[in-house]
Amino acid sequence: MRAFWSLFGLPLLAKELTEQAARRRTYVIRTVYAVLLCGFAVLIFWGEVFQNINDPLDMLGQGRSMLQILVALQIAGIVLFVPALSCGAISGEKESNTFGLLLLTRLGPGTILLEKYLGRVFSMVTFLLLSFPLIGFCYALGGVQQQDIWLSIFILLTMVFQLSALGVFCSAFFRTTVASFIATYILGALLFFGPILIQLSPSSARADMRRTAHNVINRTLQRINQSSLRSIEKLDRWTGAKTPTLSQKPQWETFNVNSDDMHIPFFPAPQMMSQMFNEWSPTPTWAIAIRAVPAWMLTGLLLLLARLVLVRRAFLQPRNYLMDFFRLIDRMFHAMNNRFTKGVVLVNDTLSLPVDDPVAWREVSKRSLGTFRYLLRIFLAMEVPILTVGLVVLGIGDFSSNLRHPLFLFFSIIAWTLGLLLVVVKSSTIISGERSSETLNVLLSTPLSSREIIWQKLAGVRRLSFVVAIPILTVVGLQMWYVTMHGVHEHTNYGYRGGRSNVDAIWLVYGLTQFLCVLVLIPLASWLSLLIGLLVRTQTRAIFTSLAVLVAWIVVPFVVAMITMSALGHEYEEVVLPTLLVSPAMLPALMESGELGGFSYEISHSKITPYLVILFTLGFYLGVVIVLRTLTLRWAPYLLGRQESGAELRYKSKRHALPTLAGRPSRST
Amino acid sequence: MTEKQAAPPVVSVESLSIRYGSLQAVDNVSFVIPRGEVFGFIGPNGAGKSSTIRVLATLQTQFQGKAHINGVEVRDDPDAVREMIGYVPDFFGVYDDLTAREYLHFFAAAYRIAPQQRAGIVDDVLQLTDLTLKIDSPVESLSRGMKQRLSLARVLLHDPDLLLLDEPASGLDPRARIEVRELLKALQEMGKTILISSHILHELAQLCTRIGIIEAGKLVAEGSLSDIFRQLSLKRVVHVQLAKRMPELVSQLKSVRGVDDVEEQTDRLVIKLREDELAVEDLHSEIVRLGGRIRMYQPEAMDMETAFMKLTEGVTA
Repeated sequence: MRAFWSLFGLPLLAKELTEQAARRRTYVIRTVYAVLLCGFAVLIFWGEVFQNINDPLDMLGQGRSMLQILVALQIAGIVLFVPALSCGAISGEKESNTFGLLLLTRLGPGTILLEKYLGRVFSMVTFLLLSFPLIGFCYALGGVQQQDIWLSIFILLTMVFQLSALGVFCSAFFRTTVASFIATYILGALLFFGPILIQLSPSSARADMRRTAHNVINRTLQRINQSSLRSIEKLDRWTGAKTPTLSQKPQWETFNVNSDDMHIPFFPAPQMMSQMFNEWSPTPTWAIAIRAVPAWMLTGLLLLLARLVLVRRAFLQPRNYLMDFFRLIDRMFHAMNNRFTKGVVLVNDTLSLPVDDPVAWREVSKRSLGTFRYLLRIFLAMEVPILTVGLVVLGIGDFSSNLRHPLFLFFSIIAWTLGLLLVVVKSSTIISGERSSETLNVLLSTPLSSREIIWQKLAGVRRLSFVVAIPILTVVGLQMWYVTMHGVHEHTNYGYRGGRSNVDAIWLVYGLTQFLCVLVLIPLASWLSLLIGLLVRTQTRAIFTSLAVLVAWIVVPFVVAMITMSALGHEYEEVVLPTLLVSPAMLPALMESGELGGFSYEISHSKITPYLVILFTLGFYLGVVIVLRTLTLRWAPYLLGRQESGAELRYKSKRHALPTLAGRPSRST
Repeated sequence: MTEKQAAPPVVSVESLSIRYGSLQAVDNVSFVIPRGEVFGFIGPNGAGKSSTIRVLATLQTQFQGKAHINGVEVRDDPDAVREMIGYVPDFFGVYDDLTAREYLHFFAAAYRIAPQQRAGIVDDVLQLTDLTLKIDSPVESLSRGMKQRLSLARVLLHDPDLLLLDEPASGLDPRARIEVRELLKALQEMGKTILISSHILHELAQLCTRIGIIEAGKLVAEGSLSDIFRQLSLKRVVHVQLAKRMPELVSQLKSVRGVDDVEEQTDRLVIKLREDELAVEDLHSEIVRLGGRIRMYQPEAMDMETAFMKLTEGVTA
């Protein structure tokens, strides 16, 4: 009998759940999730439901719209949490070298996989349970039928099972949790957007893209020489265009993606919700539920694939993909250099030995993101496409009818994202990397002061910041050049009615502001990541925490403002909108979109000029940088974990008393 | 009073206590290491050895009690203390992206050695650690034993008074272990004061002039080997190989005062004696007097394992 029950013992699942139950973190995260869910739900209920009610009896029957909001919030939570929860299920065991031991037990690979999978599913289901009181409240208000609740739960469970399967598959396939984490989100995005793109591309998008490309080529040729018209006619004949290409408007602007027409077979929750809450054309419950079949099939397929790769990829050798990539690029550049210049080398990597600042010397001459040749490659990889396409756009001129060219906005987003990503990764790992490789204690036992160590460690980050700043400023320069060439006026956005000289001044302010944004925001990301890297023990955690904090800092003000506006109504715009400036992305976004004037008007009705908004915002972020820098350097001995002369630290009794350091680091030998 | 007598001990630890949350890692530990001594710190995992060493290396931010290096309290002037010590942690990380030369020059610069002196010093320490041929090899290509010797070369760059070596032989193969031991002997002969922690008791017995046994954060014994040996009334073990087998000599030896036991092994006699009653030299004379022709006479340096087992109870903090 015991043998029979042991078949259903699920020891690994029991261990997983026991471990989760023993961690304080589990309860903290659940509490935070519950507070956020309830907080957002109450705010949205208030704005969307309660504000439209004049009589208490009007509330009856409002449960349906509240349930819709609640399910949407839960779906967002699932998309955000489940991949992060499940991507370490197997890879975590691989990283701690315990997976081999698991495979040596009597548990079969399928059982291990299933129990790990269920462990993740159960965790997320407990998060879903937190919303049950709110669902009960919706039901009590009326307007919700029992099958609506069951269908909502079914939709949410479908997503949990599906995303958990995706995370577990990536976890079984990849060696590290970091790789698994990234792959889970990329694969999820591909599965979600892939079918949409495939559906769009054959009929409309591909043809439009071809016409757009065709248009660009045509206009470039027209600029170079009128004689190219003959070539255009040939090109027209080749593509079968019925009207001359020159008279065509860019077709891509006419895209109108209607979500109802889109097919999202693998993530059917939005469509199922849309059908479920569509009161005009009710769909039978079974017809809605059946839309989940592809998702469940995908879940099964992912679990099957995970089972197939589980043992085969259980003992992968560690690989440094960044280093492999750099080596590949190295080989390509060497081959190109040998072919075109016969091996001319303009700048050799330094072969010197350290003189005064050994840590800085290592950062800029030995670390992959610090040496000249790798920085040059990063610079070229970012700068060349921007410059090439930018110059082509400038050559074409009136390609777009917008005030600002959308391509420059796109490049600006790409350049900022890549630049910040590189700076955050580099800054967050300069100390945590030393901790991970067990070299920090050795460094701390030298006479170098903590401030010196940090300051010198930042030498590589400073170089990298300079390199990533150039492409961002190139985009700004191209945008200004574009405006100068084509006389684009944007005075209305600034509330000015002046002549040409005022317009030129405005564009100068645009350039100067963007330059100052680069000067302030990149160091902001750098110091923030460095501080997190000092607080966090491992490299991986440092990178993820830094990225998460930065993304949250950028996104949360928008989400909070959106929810607050939704709850309080637009009459509170003057109060809510300025809080958006707390997001570091707001000012560059306003400058790039040309909406600063409008924004200033919205928040103050002409009482505050855009210049004041710029000054206030930049001043605020400069202050944050100074505070972060001061705190990091002042607390450096404490954060690094060492005694230091001059640091008035007596940890034994005053644990929270933080050190006060006087003076800059000495550089004498 | 001579200068040596007037100078403070290189290490002086008084009533040192370290607490991590509810865990008392080190509890009221006191010891002194005079100049030129090799102090062996013995104890099971989690006994508090590394924490004590980290205090002396100025890397422990929270502790109670006092710790002096050359008379300087580590909290009063940690920068000065760092100039006096060379620290090799239990997990010795090295910069794999550097060559041995770059690695040593890196730390020579960190220790602010004058640039014109660095090349000579680096050559000297590489020669001492027998790594001269590896000077331009990438650190990542070195074996674990070589990396450990490179770490020892690093701590010698600024010629510190005190070497703090936390488990320097851990994870090394037998050859590398012997190489490190020989290197430490050479450093001992150079007059360096060394604090070394290890699990490998017989190696410490060959190397150390003093030992401290720590268990569950408490120092259970401290002193020279003979002091501890005498304190515990342990038996000295002497291995004797005779020219021919003499069963009658074995029975005669067992009746000698001070001899505790005589065990006849294939190629030797293993004699346990109470050293306070019969000195090792006197045992030699006694065997000769009884007609034994001695081919080999080897007293064991110390029965450290017995001492350790007797002093400790397998308790962890």
